[in-house]
Amino acid sequence: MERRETILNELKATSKFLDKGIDMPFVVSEAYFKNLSMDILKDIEKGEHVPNKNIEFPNYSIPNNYFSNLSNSILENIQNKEVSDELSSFAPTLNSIAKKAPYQVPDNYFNDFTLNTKVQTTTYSSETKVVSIVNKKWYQIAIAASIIGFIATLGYFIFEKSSSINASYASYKSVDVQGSVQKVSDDDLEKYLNNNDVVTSSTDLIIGDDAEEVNPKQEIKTVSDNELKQYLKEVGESKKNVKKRI
Amino acid sequence: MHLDDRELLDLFRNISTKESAFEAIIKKFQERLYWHIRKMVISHDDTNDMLQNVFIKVWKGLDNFREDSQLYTWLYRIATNECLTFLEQRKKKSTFSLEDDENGMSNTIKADQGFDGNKLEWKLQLAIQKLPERQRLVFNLRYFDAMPYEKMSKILETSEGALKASYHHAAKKIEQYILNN
Repeated sequence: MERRETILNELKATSKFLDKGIDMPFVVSEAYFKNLSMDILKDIEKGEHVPNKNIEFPNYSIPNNYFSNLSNSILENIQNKEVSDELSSFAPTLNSIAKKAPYQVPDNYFNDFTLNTKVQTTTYSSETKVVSIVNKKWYQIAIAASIIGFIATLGYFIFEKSSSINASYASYKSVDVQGSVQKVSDDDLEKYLNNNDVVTSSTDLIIGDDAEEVNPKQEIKTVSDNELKQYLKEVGESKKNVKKRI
Repeated sequence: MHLDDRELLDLFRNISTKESAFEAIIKKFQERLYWHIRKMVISHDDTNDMLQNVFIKVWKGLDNFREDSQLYTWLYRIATNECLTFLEQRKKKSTFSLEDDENGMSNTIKADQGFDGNKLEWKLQLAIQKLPERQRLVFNLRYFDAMPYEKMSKILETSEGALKASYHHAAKKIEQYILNN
């Protein structure tokens, strides 16, 4: 009402004709507003307010889901603006780069993805009960038996190998070499030495497994005085002979 | 048009509409999750494998989803964990140094069909690979997805202040790389 008063005052100031005020000349029956809602409902029932389908509206087009996505797109714009404002304060160069990863995606990837996943979800479905085709108890026994078998076989080979080494070593140790050699005839020994390249140096013979270290001082004690005299006499004569020849 | 998360969850909990609801969830989130993963692992094949794993985990875990957080946040968290696990495993498998791992990622980027070293968006991708993994995640979520820090905080379980600082450092490092290369 205050606005009406203001408008009238403005009009009075503008024109004297309007100074006296003008009443609205149109008249509406008192029952009009009282019955308005009822009248509209009656019209709707009669179908008088249904828009005429034959009327052609101008061919305006709206993108699909425009109104359903409107709130989201406005929110996105606000958030993008925030990010952009933020960057401009400490890394403005980044605002000039497109905010979209440049990688390629195979054609129809997202359409096909659903099918691919459907297969997997069926497999992983919690509703699907997986029934084993093998009796679980027998299956466990079979696994245990195979493990035991494997360990036993492995153990057999390990122990068999070590015992065969020990056995062969023991058998070699127990051989009576001297007795065996005596049984062999001289002809056979000669044939063996001729047919086999048996090369043994004096060193090989001394440094054998069973050879004891030779101590010359100890060894000389075992030689008798007569044997020594005989040795010195032989050596002395041989030296005299050599001098005479010279 | 996509259904809202509340409707999708109700449909998923109904045994007769469970599968169709799950398909709708995939349709609704597949693209966002794909890009979230792709920007971290670069290769399409790795991304595809991981996206499959993410949705398998969703299928298994959605019955127990307590709705303390939004479905979107929960899905992003699964995808993020999947990314971090994958990158960790790749690092362990690699016999080379961290630097070689970075070079490997850069080589994967350069091997992309559309790669153009002169274009800023590719330089940006190369620069992002220089960041530590978690900083890379923060940068990608903020820069490409314009994700508010509040949401990011729920996904990465880190305070908003720490995320802001991390993003700030990441953006500065990237800008330096772009300006110097």
